[in-house]
Amino acid sequence: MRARNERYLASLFSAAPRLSASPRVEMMMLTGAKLAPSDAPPPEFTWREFAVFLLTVAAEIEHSLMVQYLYAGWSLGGPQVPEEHHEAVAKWRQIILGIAKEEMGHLATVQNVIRFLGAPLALDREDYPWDSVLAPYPFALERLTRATLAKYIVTESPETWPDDVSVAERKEIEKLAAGPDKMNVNRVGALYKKLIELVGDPSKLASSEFHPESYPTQSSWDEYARGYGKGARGSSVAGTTKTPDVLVMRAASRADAVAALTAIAEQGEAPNKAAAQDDESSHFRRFLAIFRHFPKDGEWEATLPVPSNPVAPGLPATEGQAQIEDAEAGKWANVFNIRYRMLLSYLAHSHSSPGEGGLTRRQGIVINRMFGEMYTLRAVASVLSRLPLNVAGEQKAAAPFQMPYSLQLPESDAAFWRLHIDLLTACRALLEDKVICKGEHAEYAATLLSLDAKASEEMRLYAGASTVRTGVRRSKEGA
Amino acid sequence: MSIHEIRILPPLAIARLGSSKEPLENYELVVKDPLGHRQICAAETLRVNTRTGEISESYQPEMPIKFRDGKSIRPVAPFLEVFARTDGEKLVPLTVDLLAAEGLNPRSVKWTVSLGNLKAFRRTTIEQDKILASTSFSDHDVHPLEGRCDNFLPGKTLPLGSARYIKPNAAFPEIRLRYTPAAGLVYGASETRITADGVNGPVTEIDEIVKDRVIYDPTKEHATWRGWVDPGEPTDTNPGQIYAGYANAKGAQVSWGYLDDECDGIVEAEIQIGEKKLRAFARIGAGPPAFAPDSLPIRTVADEIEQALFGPEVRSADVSADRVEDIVRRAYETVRLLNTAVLNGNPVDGRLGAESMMPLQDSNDFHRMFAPIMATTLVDNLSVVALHQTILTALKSGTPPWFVDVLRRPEEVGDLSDKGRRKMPAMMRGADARYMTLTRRQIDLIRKSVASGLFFGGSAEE
Repeated sequence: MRARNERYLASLFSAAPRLSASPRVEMMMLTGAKLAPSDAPPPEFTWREFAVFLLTVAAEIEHSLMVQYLYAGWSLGGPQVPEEHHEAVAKWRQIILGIAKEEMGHLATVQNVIRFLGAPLALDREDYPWDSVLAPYPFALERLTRATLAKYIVTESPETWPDDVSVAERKEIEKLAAGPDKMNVNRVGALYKKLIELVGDPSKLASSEFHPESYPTQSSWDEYARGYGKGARGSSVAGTTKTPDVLVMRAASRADAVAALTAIAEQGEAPNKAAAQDDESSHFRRFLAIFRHFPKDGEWEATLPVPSNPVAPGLPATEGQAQIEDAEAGKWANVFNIRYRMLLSYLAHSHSSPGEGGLTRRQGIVINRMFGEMYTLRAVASVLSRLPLNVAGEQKAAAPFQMPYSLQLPESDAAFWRLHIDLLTACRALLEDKVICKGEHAEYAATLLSLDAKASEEMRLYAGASTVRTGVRRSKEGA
Repeated sequence: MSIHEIRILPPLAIARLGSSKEPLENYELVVKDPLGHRQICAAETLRVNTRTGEISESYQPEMPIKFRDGKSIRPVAPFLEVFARTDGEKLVPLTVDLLAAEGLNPRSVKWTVSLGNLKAFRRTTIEQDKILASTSFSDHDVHPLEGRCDNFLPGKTLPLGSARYIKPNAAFPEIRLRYTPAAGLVYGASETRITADGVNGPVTEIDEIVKDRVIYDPTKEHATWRGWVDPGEPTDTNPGQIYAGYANAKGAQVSWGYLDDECDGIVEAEIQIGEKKLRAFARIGAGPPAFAPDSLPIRTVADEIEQALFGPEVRSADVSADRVEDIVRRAYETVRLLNTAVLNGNPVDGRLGAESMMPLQDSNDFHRMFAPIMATTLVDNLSVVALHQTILTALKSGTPPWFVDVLRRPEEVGDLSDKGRRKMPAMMRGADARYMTLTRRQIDLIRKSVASGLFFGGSAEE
């Protein structure tokens, strides 16, 4: 979260957190009791604005969790995994990536509620590592370890832990999660509790504050979840049948908005006793199941030797970051960052209002491009994980997930297409760099260049024509 | 060197119908553009002298390969070659010299070709509707395969192509047979046909399609093919009512009694060495021409046979990224040929269900509410094609395939929920009238390649 926003968070507490070295501790004490009673909106806010602010914070947290889980999931594997553990590692990877998909659903649903309140999308977040008093713990891109798993478990834990977790096991998990600095790990539920209360209260948010006409530009399960509902797509490797369960909920009424926020708040924690016993249902249970079988230090390595918080070449890395120094890996890290920006731009584009260009007709094209970028990100991450981090060669490079300088979005459909073309052009320069086109992954780079060339050609048509009929026929006349 | 055993290779050959006198020249499918469909490349072709029955030359055809002569499609006429197992385990081509070593000559090889078209019989189950052709020979003449049937008009037959024992010569001494399929014509049971049940009785018209090729006699005692209606019993084909005809007042499909000249059957070769009779057989079939010859379907007969032969699971040693890429390429090649918006069930110019597609069949067969399969916005064809190309690209990076869970399982073909209908392959019908799946073996290949990609080439069983 942008540091300038932290000051607003004081209003969430019955007393402002002290500006101590560890505001997180303060927050735990306060949220542990209850959130501040509120008859009037916090200073500088209306209730609607405050709701949008909290949703923005929620979006940032969901976005950060999603990326962290992707990073952790992608870290699993590598040639050092003993053969007898291949199946388990493949299964863990699928479970973690399944949870990341569910977080994408959370992010999309939060954006829908933001749209429903008539506010602009909130796709921004800080680069890793970063921290906030509302964050469950300092966010970081880390490979999967028992310690990171412990953090995930505590973050997603229900208020009462299930009976099958012994006192000793819980202690071990909490100790690992706290780490050497004895950090407190927050549960994510508190923020949603406040949001649900606010959105559900007609005395604070009148019905006229809602924008049901935004419904067509909200993400739908049909378009985004790709059939990942209640494990309907099964999980041949992980052997699960109920997950992933990607919730993408739209809001056309107050009740819809409350239901959507409630559903995503509950998906992490095991909401009831039955769910608390089920290894598939909640994020808490799924992380716990992995934790119980994850190798202890020195037993064997389940993950590639990737660093924490890798960053592409540039200014020297700040504390907690690891600079990618290998020339080839560095270029691929730049490629990764551009493709990540492309993904965010497509996501934003798909939410933009129909306008004269009749985006609704082209929405599917943008969404398919967005899914295509997810595949590309996965592929580039795979390339990075096979390249060294630096000359020492012991560690591998990994996906940096660095945010673009700006997420201010274009105003017209044509301007969106021009942005996409710009990003493709910038990426082309990198892929044509001799370090890449003569490197180990030259074939992939060449194929990606060819794919992008086709995409640019198509996008030029869209950018140049105010109305392009899709699905029927296209001509180059408008270009 | 004595001959212990003979075989015919290939053991299964598929001919393709065509009315041109010139058979289609050989070609191979080669992937040149990593994001494109396969390219047709000319391959060595044997030219048969139609007069002598000998092979006059082997040549490289000119590009582009010609699929038609005017309106006539060039038939695919496969060669079937006899191989011999001699002293070792290895199969060698059976040649004039090898025969001579056994005191035999080309005339010592006896060929028998037996073909049938049982399409009418498959429905009516009346023996008299079986159309069968058989011929045996050791000479090098063209032997027509005339399909005979008890329910045909006197003197009428259904041409099912021809077979010719290629005359070996010094340059091409191998023992081989060539099967040339029929022209791809439609035959009938009447010079007129009913197009509808009108209020004043059936509406009849002159049948321009078969009027010169009426061979079936519907007046015979056991001849029910013309006027046939599938009874709606478990023995019906699935889907049923897939024969040419008209819908009667009750909406049932009534057969016009059409017959095509497709067929399948057995080719046998036989030689007598002393007391020993050696025999081999191969299967042949004649099907319609390939109208997208530069693409392969996502699931082929070859996939079925591989599964039947080797089982539903792939050995880890046989798992390779190339094989997974091939499946994805076939998906891409297929989707580029689909009108995805129509097949998805999108309204087209305001019309719902204007064409036959899976959503319509879900409604017709199960009374499911008519609804498109995917979100209507997602199925723009260029965009779906681009998405498949992105998958092909991503696989080039060495990343393990991630889409195994979006594949429809064979036991899920009847899942008509939104989720079930959106699995892959999408929008297409399988052989059992419901949604298509890959074979279990194809699915297993993709599943196992996940492990091999994840551990950089080392899969669990290696």
